[in-house]
Amino acid sequence: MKKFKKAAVLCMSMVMALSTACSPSTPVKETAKAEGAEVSKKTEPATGEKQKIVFWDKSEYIKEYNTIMAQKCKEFTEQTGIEVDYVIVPPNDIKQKIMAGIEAKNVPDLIVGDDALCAQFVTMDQIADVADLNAKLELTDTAKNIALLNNKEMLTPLAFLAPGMYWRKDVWEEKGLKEPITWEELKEQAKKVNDPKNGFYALGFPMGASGGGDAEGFMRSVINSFGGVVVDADGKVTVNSKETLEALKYVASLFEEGLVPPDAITWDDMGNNNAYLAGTVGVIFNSGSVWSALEKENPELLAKTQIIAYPAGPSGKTFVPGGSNVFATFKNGKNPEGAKQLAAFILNDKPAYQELVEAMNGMWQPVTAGSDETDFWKQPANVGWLANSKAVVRNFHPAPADEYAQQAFANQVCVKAMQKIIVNKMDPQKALDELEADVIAVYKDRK
Amino acid sequence: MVISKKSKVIKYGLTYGILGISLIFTLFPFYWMVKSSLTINKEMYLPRPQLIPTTITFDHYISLFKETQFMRNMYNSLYIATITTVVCLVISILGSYALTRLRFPLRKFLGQSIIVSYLLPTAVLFIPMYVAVSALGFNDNKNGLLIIYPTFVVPYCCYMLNSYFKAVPYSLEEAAMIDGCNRFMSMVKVVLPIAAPGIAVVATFAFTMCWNEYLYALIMTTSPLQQTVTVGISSFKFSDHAIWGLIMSASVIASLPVVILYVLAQSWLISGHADGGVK
Amino acid sequence: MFFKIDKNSIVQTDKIVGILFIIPAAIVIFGIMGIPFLRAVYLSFTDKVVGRPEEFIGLQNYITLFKDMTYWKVVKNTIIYTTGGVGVKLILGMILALVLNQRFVGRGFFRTVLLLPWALPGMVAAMTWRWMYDSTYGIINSILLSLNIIEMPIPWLSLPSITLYTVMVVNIWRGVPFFLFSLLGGLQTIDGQMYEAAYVDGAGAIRQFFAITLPSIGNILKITTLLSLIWTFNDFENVFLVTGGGPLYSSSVISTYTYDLALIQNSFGASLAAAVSVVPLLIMIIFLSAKAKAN
Repeated sequence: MKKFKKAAVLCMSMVMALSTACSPSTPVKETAKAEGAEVSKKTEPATGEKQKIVFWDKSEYIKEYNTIMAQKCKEFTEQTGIEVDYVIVPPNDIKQKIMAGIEAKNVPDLIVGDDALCAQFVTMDQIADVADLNAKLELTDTAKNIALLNNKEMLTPLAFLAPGMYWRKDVWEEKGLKEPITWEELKEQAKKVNDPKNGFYALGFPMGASGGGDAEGFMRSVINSFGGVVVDADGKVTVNSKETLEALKYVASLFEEGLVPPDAITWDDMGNNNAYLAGTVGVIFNSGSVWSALEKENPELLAKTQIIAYPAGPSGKTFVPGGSNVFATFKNGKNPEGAKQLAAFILNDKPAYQELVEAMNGMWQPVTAGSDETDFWKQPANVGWLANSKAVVRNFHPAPADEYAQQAFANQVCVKAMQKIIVNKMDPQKALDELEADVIAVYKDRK
Repeated sequence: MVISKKSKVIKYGLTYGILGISLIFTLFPFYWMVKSSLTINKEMYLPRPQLIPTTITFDHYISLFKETQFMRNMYNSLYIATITTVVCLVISILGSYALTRLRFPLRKFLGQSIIVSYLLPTAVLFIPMYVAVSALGFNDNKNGLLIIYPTFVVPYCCYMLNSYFKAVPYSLEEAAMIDGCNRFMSMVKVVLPIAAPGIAVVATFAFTMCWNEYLYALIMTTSPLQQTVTVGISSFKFSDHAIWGLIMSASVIASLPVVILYVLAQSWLISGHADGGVK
Repeated sequence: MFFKIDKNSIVQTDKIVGILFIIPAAIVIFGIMGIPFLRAVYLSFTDKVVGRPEEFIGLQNYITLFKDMTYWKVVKNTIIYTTGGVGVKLILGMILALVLNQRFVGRGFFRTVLLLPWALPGMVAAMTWRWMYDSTYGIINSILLSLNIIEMPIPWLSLPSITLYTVMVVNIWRGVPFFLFSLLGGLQTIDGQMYEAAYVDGAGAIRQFFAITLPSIGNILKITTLLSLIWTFNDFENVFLVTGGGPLYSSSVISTYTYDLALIQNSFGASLAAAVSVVPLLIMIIFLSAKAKAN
């Protein structure tokens, strides 16, 4: 060991010595070589300057997506001469990486992320206005709506991620029950199919404040369909209403009566996926990601699953809060113009764009006009997703799309109120009062 | 310890009893990991999971090796962890020797401030840290970790080595110096051999700390060619869906090098103990 | 002393050698760590938000924080998590180290196997435990149910009164090996003859432990405990991935709380204030342990 250590020390010092000894000599060599290179470099700007962009794309469960995207980047380089550094980043990691990058003034030029995440970077004053880019695209009206933040077009939609209500048809039918139309009905049926002793809970509704959007999105959808309005279209905080109170009481009762797995209160966004795949819950709200996982991993469970319409509130209102994947262009990146060019290149090549979206197997829905006119979207399995994507409203609807709405959603105000009722047994009205105070705290600076 | 023969039976009973319980507690999560890595996707989640899988598959391992860059990640981790460990050991052996054996200005202050790097949680420190390291020009470069990791490995090594070095009687060194050894020689010839089992423990744990680090590695590296195992494993989690088969098989593979290291260190430790009568 | 004459020159060379030897470590600590550390401390006195320039606001962050009940709950959790976790790890580690220091069949096997939890990346361990804990598809509840120990699954991850202990178990599981092997390393440097002598003097096992074992490894014990205290204090992945600190901060500790403030609520200044606010506590621990060492 002693000898080994000595040898190791020796090796290390040799490496160090070598590297220090070599470093002065290498630049000399390089300058000698570089002269030739410099000539060609200098000539290049005349013909079209050598540009580069860094593009961080989401890694997707369906690999074809990333393959197609990489191919598109290559084609883009061939056509424009702009080099693309195509990097695949897992979506769970991207926020930390971007935030560190922002502080170090070292951000990519273009990213793909979900709209809620990218909106946060807009709030941080990092994203370029893309009105000029969006004008070149044939976005549908619903898609244009997503692009807006603080009355400016800050994001460029790539695809919708319409949600669906996953429903275990077999379990319901076993008890002679039909698909639920209202929230109240859903609860009554849930009581009948619930079987916690055998590890089966009727409802897989997430309620963890994990920072993912699932739980808050669920809360907003219940509150809205009960007629509650967290913040109205004028930006006024109107959450403290009879309707919201009813919605809170309703959700709390699902937990108190044991219709939801107790752990749901600490679920992150994977929680409901896992539980559904395990067959331990009967209903979840999710994008197509569970669908594609079922297709790949558990076709038998898929056969027992049906995607049905969202339940309606007492007045018959339904609310389908949806997400989307968007491009965001960093204004402090090295080449925001190049980034916009690439986004336009991807979205404007219709056949390629259709191929890209369809590779996601229904989980993504197109944002440009006419892209849904293919046979793919006429297949029964995909019709529902497409229809849902056209009804998508943003999570904080009807509040004006601004940084306050976004921040209130990110702070998971409704989830926290619900947790107080369920965990701390707080009186619902008191929780609602505190919820109102939380929202007002976010909105206090709004003019 | 020396105990009478009569109580020997009780002692062995107790020994194996304690070990048996700890063994179950220790190994169960590993069993679950290995079991999951061999489970087919359809049975990955079950409402009432069973201890023993009904069918076994190696598909997850096959796709891990064929379809992912995980072996590249393994190499990167090995590279980072080895270099960091060796460099940190050298730095810390020198530092600890100075702190425990030599008198020089600011010694007390330095000795206590070494722990300073542990005072703020990584969960927030990573952003200022990234700003500093990327200012040095490290950007999507695993070598940036070679700069960051010593900040938490060196304090650990120094603290542990301090106590091992202190246990070495000063008289032995004095004797060596009278024989004509200088400080460096007496450190290498007297202190290090006696403290060797301790150094081995420190080295093994230092390696493990680097191998298992996640947050800094995530921030520093972006392309799979630069990423380490922990980041690689976490990339098998998509937005809201985890590929458990890949995560678990990758975890099994990722723990192998460290386990091998432990086995090697173990056999060395035991023999080190056998001729530990140096003292 | 044989070398009275040389003493001065030895002190002199020791000084130079000492400084030379400590320089690399000092560079790592102050050079690399210093700037980010000081910047973090500075930012805790500002209204820093990622992406925007900061403004100095004095103690405002701290005042807001100290008025927040959640903060105090988190501090309390952190103290329970740290002292409880380290205490259990220390006791278990000590028992196992003593057991493994004996000669018996299979010793090498146990020594390696009991180290395994430390070999597993914390992130993987946390994810695996979370899965095992789950109230509907987790194996722990499944086993307890099939053994008829419980009638209904225990919601390990969501019952506010137990979630903190749920995450502590994972921390203990992963942390015992560190104690075990540091202490074992210490035990091995003890001269066996000392026990022989004690035995001849009629000292029993317990007296041998307190008279010989404990004093001999006292230093290692203190260092190990200190390091473990600090690591446990700042443990992040574990809590974050098992319960996320929830529900309603019932298992939240300082490190996850700061993460929540910084990355989810985007108030970086406040988050750093929370992190810095506990530094005095840590310094106190270090100071006390340094004092204990001196005695």
